[in-house]
Amino acid sequence: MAVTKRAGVYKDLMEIGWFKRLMKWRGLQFTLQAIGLAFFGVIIYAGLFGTPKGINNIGSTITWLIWWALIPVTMLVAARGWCLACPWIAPANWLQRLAFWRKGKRTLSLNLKVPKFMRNFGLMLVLFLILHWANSNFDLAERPETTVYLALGLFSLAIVVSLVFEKNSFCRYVCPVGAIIAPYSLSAPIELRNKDAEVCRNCKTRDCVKGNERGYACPMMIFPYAIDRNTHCILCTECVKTCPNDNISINIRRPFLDIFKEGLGFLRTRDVSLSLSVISVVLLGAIPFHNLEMTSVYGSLSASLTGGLGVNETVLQTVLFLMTGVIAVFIFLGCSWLARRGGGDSQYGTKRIFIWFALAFIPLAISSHVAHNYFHLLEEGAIIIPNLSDPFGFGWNLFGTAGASVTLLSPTIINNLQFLTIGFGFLASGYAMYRLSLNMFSRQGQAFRIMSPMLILLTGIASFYIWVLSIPMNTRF
Amino acid sequence: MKKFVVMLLTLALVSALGLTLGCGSALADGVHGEDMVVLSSNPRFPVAGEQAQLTIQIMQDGEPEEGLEVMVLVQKLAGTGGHADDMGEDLAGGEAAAAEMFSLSEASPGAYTGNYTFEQGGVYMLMIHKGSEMIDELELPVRFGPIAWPFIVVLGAVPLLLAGALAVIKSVRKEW
Repeated sequence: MAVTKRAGVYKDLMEIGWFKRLMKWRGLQFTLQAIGLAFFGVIIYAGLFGTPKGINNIGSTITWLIWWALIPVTMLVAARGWCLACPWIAPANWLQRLAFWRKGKRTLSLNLKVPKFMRNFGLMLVLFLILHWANSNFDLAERPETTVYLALGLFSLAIVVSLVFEKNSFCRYVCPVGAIIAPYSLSAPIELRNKDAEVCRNCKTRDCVKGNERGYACPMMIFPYAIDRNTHCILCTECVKTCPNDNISINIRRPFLDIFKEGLGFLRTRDVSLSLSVISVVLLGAIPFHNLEMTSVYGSLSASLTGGLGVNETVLQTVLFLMTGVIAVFIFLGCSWLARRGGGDSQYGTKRIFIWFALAFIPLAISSHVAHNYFHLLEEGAIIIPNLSDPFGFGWNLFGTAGASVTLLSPTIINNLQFLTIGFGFLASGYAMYRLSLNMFSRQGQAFRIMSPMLILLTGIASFYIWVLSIPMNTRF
Repeated sequence: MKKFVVMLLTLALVSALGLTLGCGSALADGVHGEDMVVLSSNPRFPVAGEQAQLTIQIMQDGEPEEGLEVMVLVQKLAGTGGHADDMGEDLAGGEAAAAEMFSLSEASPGAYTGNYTFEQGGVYMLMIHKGSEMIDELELPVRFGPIAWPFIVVLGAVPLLLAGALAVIKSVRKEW
């Protein structure tokens, strides 16, 4: 029986022979992780033995100008595809599974379940904020050796978590990068889903959850047979390998489909949790603040506040950084309360509205993150070209580009690209809000009333982003 | 597949060995008129608080210049912290750091050497003087501290010890 394509899905890549063989190949993840680890090796070597001047050290520039800036872009293109190649979890996986790529039978782990109170995005968000804060306060980018200590610390943490807790608990509940990857992946034009729900319903073995001789049980502890959004799927393709019915598809789909989806059923699942929504809202506050603190406006504000209050710069930055997150949550909470009042219907409480509408802001959050990173990637990132010739600052000139001054795009073009991206995110968020409101209420008037406080907030945030982006930004180095 | 992995690992090992060799090579050079000045340091990047041996080679028309009185004025560049928009750019901007002069002695024809301890990490500007004439300005990055090997060892040892303990527990439980 032919399987009908879901609305918004353009193409199942598993219908392409070579792609299917590649996804089913057990060596796929190992190969990608090995390449990632080789890069990591270079970064670690550069950090420990290369020049201590960050801007001339390829370890610092690749990490903070290329990788860190590309992360949200990869989410837009390939969902959590980065996680498939992530080198941090590689040694942890190999040690836990006692195998590099083959399906092992034994595991080296206590296989404990993560305590229930930690089964959310809370710890990830806290670690992400700490990383973000440390990056601003301790100049991680400028001091290559600190990048190494941080990277090795995360390797170590990933291994310890994997030895104590089951499967990829680190990726699911601890990884600080996961805090942005999880919400952003909802926007991606790629998804892993079942081909035919009926086949999965009739499946008695549930190999995707239990594992078999061809592959491991889903390491992210989700149910691939019922997966309906990208939040946790790391595209490791274990379910592709284990499914006895070849019922897993990897689809090219309409972008933002997980957010625009019709019907409220998809919002009521456990995957849409308060912690996921809080992350989205905190990002709405943290991204423009991070952008602002790289401008001269923040410099003069900080100078007058430190002078006036008699506190040092680190304390002030920490307080302001925490306040932006808290203020963003409170403003959003206030708008959710107004929206509930506007809707005039008690069937949806303020908390429910907060959780659901926060998802509608993800397109704006990701677009602002990407827009901010254009600067790092397209203006500052050009330094990578001379750095490739002299990666460690030893005075080499491997490709004849050492010391070259390269401009990829002019600041005006970058600025216009930033405004366009914010505009796109604003429209996508507005549309998501409109669809969400119509999903909640059949009467258009009621839908518009619940939507209006959120729309005002969306316009306010987008205008604020545009203002911040219009101020010339200082370089990271 | 095995061959591929072995090749990859060999390549990584050879690259690492190649990169590790050559400590103390030239860090910076400059040409001023007829003078060519090459600076090298041992260790390659000095560590704050530790003595470093600086060597400056001065050549004129390809020939080493002998018997000179060579002095170096050392000054830390301002703004080596925060979002350093001014890092490594100018000496005048930000808080002006104190400059210190020290002299070098001729170790071999045209090569002048001396020991110096940089107090802080960051980027320093070395102004090379031939007598009273400044012949070049060279940049030298200085590490903030030595590599924290004990910390790195702990980071590696904790998971390995835990893995070992787990392996022992698992095998003992199986025996039991």
